[in-house]
Amino acid sequence: MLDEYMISMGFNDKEIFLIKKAYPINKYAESTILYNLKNISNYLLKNSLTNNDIINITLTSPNIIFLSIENIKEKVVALTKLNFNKIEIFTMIKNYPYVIELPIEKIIDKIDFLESIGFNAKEVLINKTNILSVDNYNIQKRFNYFIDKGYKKIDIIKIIENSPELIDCNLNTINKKIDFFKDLGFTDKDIIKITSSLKELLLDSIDDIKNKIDYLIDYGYHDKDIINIIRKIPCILENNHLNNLSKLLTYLEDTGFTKNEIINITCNNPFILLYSIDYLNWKIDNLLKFTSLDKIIKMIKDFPTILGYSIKSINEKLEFYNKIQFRNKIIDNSYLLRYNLEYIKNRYKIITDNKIDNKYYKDLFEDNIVIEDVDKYLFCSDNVFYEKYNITKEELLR
Amino acid sequence: MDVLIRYGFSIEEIKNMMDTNPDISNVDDNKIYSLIDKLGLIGCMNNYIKNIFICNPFYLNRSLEDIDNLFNKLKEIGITNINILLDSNPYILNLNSEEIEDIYNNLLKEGLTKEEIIDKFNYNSFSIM
Repeated sequence: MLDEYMISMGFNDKEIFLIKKAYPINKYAESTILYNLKNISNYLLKNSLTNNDIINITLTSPNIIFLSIENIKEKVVALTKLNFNKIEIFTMIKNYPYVIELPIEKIIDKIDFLESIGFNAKEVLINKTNILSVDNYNIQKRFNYFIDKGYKKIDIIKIIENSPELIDCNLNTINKKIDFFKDLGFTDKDIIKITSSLKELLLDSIDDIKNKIDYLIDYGYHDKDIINIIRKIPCILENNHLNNLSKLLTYLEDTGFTKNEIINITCNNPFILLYSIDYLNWKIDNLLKFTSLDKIIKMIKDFPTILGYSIKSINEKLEFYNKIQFRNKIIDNSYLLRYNLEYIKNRYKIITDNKIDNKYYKDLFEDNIVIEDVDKYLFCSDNVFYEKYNITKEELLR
Repeated sequence: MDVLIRYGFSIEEIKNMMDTNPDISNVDDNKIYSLIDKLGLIGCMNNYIKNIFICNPFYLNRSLEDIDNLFNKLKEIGITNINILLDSNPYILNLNSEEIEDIYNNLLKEGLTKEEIIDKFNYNSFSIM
């Protein structure tokens, strides 16, 4: 009967064997075990756990079969009183089934300890419930390790909350990882920043990271380029981005950029390395409404951030410059697109309103004439502009 | 994510932001609201905010405290129109206040005056990052 029920739940023969082996099942009547298992399963299923979760729970903690359902419900009530909601409680049971067997005092003690060193104890317990099995001394030791390395308390908390596995990881492995980054040329500050911003980087194998860096070196990036790229977008070291990278670089080559040009533009704006091909295609297609591909390539080479701005922002700028007959100037000097449009429009208005000074002033849009002063002062430095038009910054920004 | 749709981002824009920064899906709507507010409070208009989010989806990973510190530091060194600076260069939002201070001090050491540094931030911030 017990075997049949377990098979109906999805246990395989090996798992049934393991559970029976783990417990002196001969001491208990099969009917008692069956009764308990049915009760517990029904209770857990009602609380959003699946048959698979139950199989994992009983394999990890076969003891659960011998707990009464009242015991389990009492533990759930006690955890509710510690401000965990039901979803969180059953997530913790799924993550670390022993939580049901632990005395509630032990859980309170861990919460107090975690909070005393600044953690959001609730979040850590939900994400890394097995921290309950790590003694406080070891947690403190890892915390102190990061403090000694120059990490701020807030960064350590962020790192551990992002990668709770670090709480019981081997410190030698972390040391090797940090030394590896130092050998590459990263400063202590860089290492703190990239490891704080990237989930699980400290847990990845060094070989994994090496392979990713080697890929960039093989493509032609210099060490200092790679450091600069990783410093700006540490997530390039994540697998999902790296898988996209080779396709993206090929796409850029197919579009008409040389390898060196690709290296230059992506060093200037590494975010491009994170774009999907569809996204890049979309942006380039949009620019094609304004000019030819060879000119777009030139614009991107001169100002790679053009690919970062939203299409709406780029379109508004290009339309404005088109309207004031600056189209060719912008195509030849695409970096001018970096200026905020409202700011430039204000300048433009002030220049064109100042008719006395404009030697060639005519109706711009009718006669197609670019005012000399617009050309000279639209993008000049603030101080030159304020002096020329005798206005204050506040007036310009109004 | 709902907040981004309500704010007027298209599905395509959100998808692209998520391709660039998959962590966005884990960011709480309340935090996104607060990050939008932070930009609104320094004078960013709706179209700047959208440009900033699209250009630099990693802004959504920043803590509110880090952003406060960053804006305070920018004000401290004399940048008055942070909104315009961020519309031009949304990547500034990935820096922390210490990095801004380092950049500022290094430029001072190079011999630039305070006004020249501010000009550099306002019109050529890409060259100093």
